[in-house]
Order: sequence, then C-alpha cells, then structure tokens
Amino acid sequence: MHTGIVSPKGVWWVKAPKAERIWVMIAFAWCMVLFAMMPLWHYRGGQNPSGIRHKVDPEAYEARTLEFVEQYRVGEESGIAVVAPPPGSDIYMLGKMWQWIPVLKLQAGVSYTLHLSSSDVNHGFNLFPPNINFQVVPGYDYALRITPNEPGDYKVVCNEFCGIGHHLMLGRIIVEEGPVVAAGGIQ
Amino acid sequence: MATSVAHQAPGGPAALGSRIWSWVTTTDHKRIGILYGVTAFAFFLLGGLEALIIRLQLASSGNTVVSAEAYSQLFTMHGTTMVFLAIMPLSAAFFNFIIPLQIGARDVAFPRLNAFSYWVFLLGGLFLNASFLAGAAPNAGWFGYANLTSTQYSPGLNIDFWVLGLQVLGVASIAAGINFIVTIINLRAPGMTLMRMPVFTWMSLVTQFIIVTAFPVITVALVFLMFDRFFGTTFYSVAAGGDVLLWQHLFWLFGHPEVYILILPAMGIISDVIPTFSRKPLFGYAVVVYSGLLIGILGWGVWAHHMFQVGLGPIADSVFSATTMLIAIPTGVKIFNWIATMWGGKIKFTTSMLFAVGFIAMFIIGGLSGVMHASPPADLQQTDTYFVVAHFHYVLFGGAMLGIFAGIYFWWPKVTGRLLSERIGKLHFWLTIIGANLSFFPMHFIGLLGMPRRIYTYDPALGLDTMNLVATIGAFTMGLGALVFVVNVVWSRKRGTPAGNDPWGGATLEWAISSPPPVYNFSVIPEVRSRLPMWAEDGMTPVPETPPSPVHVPAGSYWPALAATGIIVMAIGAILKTLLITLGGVAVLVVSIYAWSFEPFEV
Repeated sequence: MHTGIVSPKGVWWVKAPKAERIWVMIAFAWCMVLFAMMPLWHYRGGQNPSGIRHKVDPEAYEARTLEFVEQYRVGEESGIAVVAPPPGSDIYMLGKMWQWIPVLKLQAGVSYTLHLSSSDVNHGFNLFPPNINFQVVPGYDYALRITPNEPGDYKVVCNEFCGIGHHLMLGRIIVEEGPVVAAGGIQ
Repeated sequence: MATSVAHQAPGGPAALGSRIWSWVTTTDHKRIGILYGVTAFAFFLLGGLEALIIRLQLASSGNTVVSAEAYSQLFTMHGTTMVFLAIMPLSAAFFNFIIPLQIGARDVAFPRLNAFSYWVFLLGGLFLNASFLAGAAPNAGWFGYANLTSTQYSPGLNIDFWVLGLQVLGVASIAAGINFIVTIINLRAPGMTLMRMPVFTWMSLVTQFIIVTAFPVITVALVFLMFDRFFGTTFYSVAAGGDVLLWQHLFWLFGHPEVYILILPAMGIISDVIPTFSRKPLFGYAVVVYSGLLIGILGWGVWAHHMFQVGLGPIADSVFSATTMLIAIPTGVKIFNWIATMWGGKIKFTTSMLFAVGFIAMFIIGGLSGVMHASPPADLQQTDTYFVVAHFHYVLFGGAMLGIFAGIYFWWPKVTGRLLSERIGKLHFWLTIIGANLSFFPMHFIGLLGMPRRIYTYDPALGLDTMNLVATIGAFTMGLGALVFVVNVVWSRKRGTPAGNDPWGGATLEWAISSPPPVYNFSVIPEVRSRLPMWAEDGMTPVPETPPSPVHVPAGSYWPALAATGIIVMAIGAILKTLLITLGGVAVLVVSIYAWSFEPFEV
C-alpha cells in the first residue's frame, strides 16, 4: 500500500509455542463445556419463564381487568379492590400510574394464569421478597403460569421507572393456606 | 504554520487571543486529543457530582436531600453524561493522541473532520447540560423507555433536550469512527502489518467499526421518537397501534454494542500497559486480537438479554442466553492472557500498572455478575434491581475508568513531557479502588434484597440503610480520589520529572520520539519490522532527532468549528420550536461544508 517495500513474511502458519497451544486447547475445551451447559439448563433445569407476551389493546385489557375485579371482589383496601379468584383461573393485574389493580388473594399450592399489562407506560412487576421481576408493557399481555407455594403477604414493587410516583407504586398479593373466601363472603 | 518545526510563543496579551484561536482552529491530532481529554474529564467530574448527590439522597431511607423530580433528572444525567460525555470522549482522547503515534503516521486521515468531531462533541455536551439551566434536564433514564418519553407522559422540554443532544453527539462519534478506520487502514508505517499493530490500536479499530454501525441504530430510534414528539407520528404510540417494545429493541440493539465501545479501548490500553511493566510481550497477541474482533461481532447478537423480563418467550430467551454466554468466552480469554503476560515477568508496580491490575480484578467481578445475568431465570431475580447497578459499575467504573486512568498515567509523560507523581498517583489509586468496592459491592446485596433501581427513596423497613450508607461513603471516597488526581495534574505541571522519549521502556512506536512529540510526530517515518519495534533487535529503522528537510504541516482551519456551530444552532432552533433558527443553523452548516471542501491546501 505504501512503497515498493516487500511485504514481510507471514507468520500465522508457524507453530505457536507449546504454552500457547496448551492454553488454546484448554480454552476450547472450556468453551465446549460452557456451551453444553446452556441446553442442559433449559431442558434439565426447566427454568425459563413459561409465558410469552401477546398483543392486546390497552383499553380492552383494562375493561377485562375491571370485569374480573367485579366478578371476584371480596373487599377493598385504600381504594383498591381485593379479589379472590377461583383456583386454576386466569387472573389479571393492571399496572397504572401509580398503582396496581387489584389486590390478589390466592391459595397456596394452586396454579393460576397471571396476566400482566399496563394501561399507560412500562411498569415493572417485582414480587417482594422473592425478588421475581417481569416487565409490564402497554399493548402487551404477559401471561404467566404461577403456583404460589408459600403463604404470605407479598408486595408488588414497581421497578421500571414510570415517572414521578414510581417509588410509591406498591401492590399486594396475599397467599393463604386453604381455599380463599369467594365473592360475597367476609374479607 | 505552513512549514514549521518549533512554535514560538511571543509574550503579551495579544498572544492569548492568538493562542486561543490556534486551539479553535487546530487540526493537529495531539491538540485535539488534549481538548477531548480535558473536556471529557470535566464532564466526568460533573457526572461524578451528580452521583454524589444521588448517593447523598440514598444514604438513608426517607431522605429529603432532593425531590423525586430532581432525582429523576440526576440519575438520567449521571448515566447519559458518564456514557456519552465522559467515557467515550476519554477513549477518544487516546484515539486521537496515541493512534497516529502508534502506527507511525503524521496525523489522522482527515484532520479537519477530526476537529469537527471534537467541536460537535463539546457543543452537544454543553447543549445537553444547558437543560439544567432551563430547569428541564432529561428525566426518563439514560435509556429513555417509550412511551414514558412520549409527549403525553413527558410534556416538557426534558426529553426534547435528550433526543436532540444525543443525535448531535452521534454525529461526532460517527465522523470520528470513519476517520480512525481510514487512518488505521491506510496510514500505517511501512512494514506495520495489521498483526504488528499495538493492541490498543487494534481494539480501537474494532471499536470504530462498532461505532459506525451501532450509532445509526440509536439515531433511528431517536428520529422516531423525535418525530413522535415534534410531528405527531405514532411509532411508539400504543393507542395508534404502535409498539413500545420497538424502542427497547432498537435501543438495546445499539446499547449492547455501545458497552463494548466503552470497554474495548480500555482493554486495549491495558494490553499495552501490562507487557511494558512486566517486561514481557503480551501472551497470545493473536488470540487477544481475535477475541476483540469476536467481541465486536458477537456483540450484535446479544441485545435482548436486556429484555429477558419483557416476555419474549422461552425460545428467544434461550437463544439470547446462549449468545450472551458465548460472548463471555472471548472476554474471559483476554483476562487469562493478561495474567499469563504478568506470569514470569519482571513486574514494576507503577501507578499505571496498579490501575491496569486493578482493572483486571474489578472486571472479573463485574464480568462474573454479568455472566449471572446471562441466564434468564437468574436474571429475573436481578433485573431492575441494584444487582444490575453493581454489575455495570464494576465493568464501567472498575473496568473502563480504571483502564483509562492506567492510560492517563502511562501516556501522560508522552503528552506533556513530565511524569505524574507516583506518590500522589498511588494515593489516587487506593482511594479509587477502595471507594469503588465500598460503593458497588454492597449493591449486589442491596439488589437481591429487593431494592429496585431508579427510586429516589426507600422504606426503612427494608433494613437497607446501613448498606446504602456504606455505598455512599464509598462514593465520596472515589470523589476524593478524583480530587487527588486533579492535585497530581497540577503538581506535575510544575514539579513533574521531565520525561525523556521513553520513561517506561515501552515497546511501541510512540516511545521512539520526544515527549511531547514534535508537531510532525516522526522526523522520518520509520520502517517497522516487528510487533515490538522498540524492543526487538532490528525492530525498526531509527528516527533521527531532526527532519532531513522541513516538514510541511497543514495550517489550521475554522470551518470545522463553524460547521459544528451550525449543527448546534439547528438543535437550539428545534428546542425553541423556532424554524427560522434551525434554518439559520442549516445555512451555517451548508456554507461551512462548502467552504471546507474548497479550502486551499496551502495557506
């Protein structure tokens, strides 16, 4: 590219020193082990979240949530409805600046399909204290098959920055041993 | 300045004006490197100040040092400033000063474009921070997720400043990227094949390719957002059928290569520092170079690991988990190569070497937490909590910044002709590394115990007060370290030991010339015959003290600065929603480009 100077002899086919060759072989073997662990994790561990998001109209989702709330309402707390849905059913939670609707009352040891969506901006569903996190996105319904196995009073903390009230956005999920009281009964 | 060897600086007040003008019109890569370095360091201190206020606010639960709104602006600007106005331009300072010296060139391929990049960066950074003066600093996070950034949910000027400022900065980066790619490919000294280049130059070359390909992606994302905000389009509007996740995909498609832009130059720096202070060539040079290339390529395939909690589904999650694990391999390989370089070497723990070794230690910790994020089920526990904050501060501060400090202490004598103080430097190092660990290590625990990111205060019932306080103390310790560095700089100006050509016994071409280098760099471009031209027997042809005949050095030009001004006037017009001002900026830009293109070579 510059002058008539002859290109220097290439070196890549010259055998590398022994230490380097051993190192490359170790590195390669290590790569293969790491790589094999990935499908292993997926199949043996079975640890990816089961759900996939589906497109949804935010207004339709909000209406469906309110319908769900009215159907299984058992009480109210600080202006937010408390809801006790039947086991195995589709349950809904709506993130809205800056509250989680409704408060869910669930039965331990039973599976539900939890739907998550937002009616305005991105929120983050962080179940506290287990520390499990999902994004709650407007326009998408994220459906997750969940099985609460420890009774307790769980907080839902919003951990996706959503504006000035972000730090106050706290929801609640109550998990009880035994059947939860259905609509019409005492709280 | 048409034919020059020495600069005569006459005394007197008139000289100040002409001295300032010589800096405004400079096209010398060394001066532009210094401009980048000083400006970027000032922004680094500003970003650090923002961090200290954040940490003051979080030092205890229920604190009221700043309001929620102010806090949102602080954490947004801290992130934006550190990424775009501190680390990237600090790396650019090194690209500018060091690359032409390391490849045996007289300057970069396009010196005026180089100056243009700097002025656009300076004006873009000032524009972004002018938002504070307007009381409307960007406040939706450095990643600005849609649709929080729509006019519906962010009606003020905050996001407008952000959208416009980042696009302006993108222009600077892309121009510089093109410049350095051409420089490195075309202007190497005879005999300097690609596989004989110093690793810093190699890593910088990969970085420039990433910049040139990644910045257009964020430009697209920002243009969509700008059109939504200014012209009522609906790219990110859910009600109109738009998709909020479009922003996340575009942003992270840029965002992940961006973090490699942030780390690769620092990796290149320590790949030159460690062999010098181990008196041993870099172990596995070829593997280190190939790893850098692999990181640059694979970095494009991992972006959705920032979106594991969005509901991509198990197949997408698994694929991105696999690619993220894969990219940990070339990254980890480099660590082993650096350690193997030190093994059996004659190690000298200068301040620069301390920072380089500190980089290795901190980057391992940050890399380990990064690998933990690569698994979606583990990430579901960590995402959007302080665990992630711990991870990226370990790799960005403990990694990139420590690497940059290693480079500063290494090349300072070359730039200024004087050494920095080793005693003050060691104090700087220890304050920095102790402070960083005090600050960021507790964040792993704070995050797993449930403290989310981006909250301006937290509940005392969480029991996280003590750890947050420790993190705050660490932050102030780092701040103290930065001040100690400033003291070192001031000390070195007057009392630093004058450095000869080669104070450290370095291996690469920059150590063959005087400190600071003459304006033309090499009196005669050497012919290079080895990867380690200064160390090898017959590694290079000698570079004489004075050039055999006068060297023609290009004169300066004010068109780059003027063109940059045109661009920022366009942005100002947009912020003020005044078309006339924007059109004025366009006119200045067009005239400047025309005049620049037809500027005569000889002045």
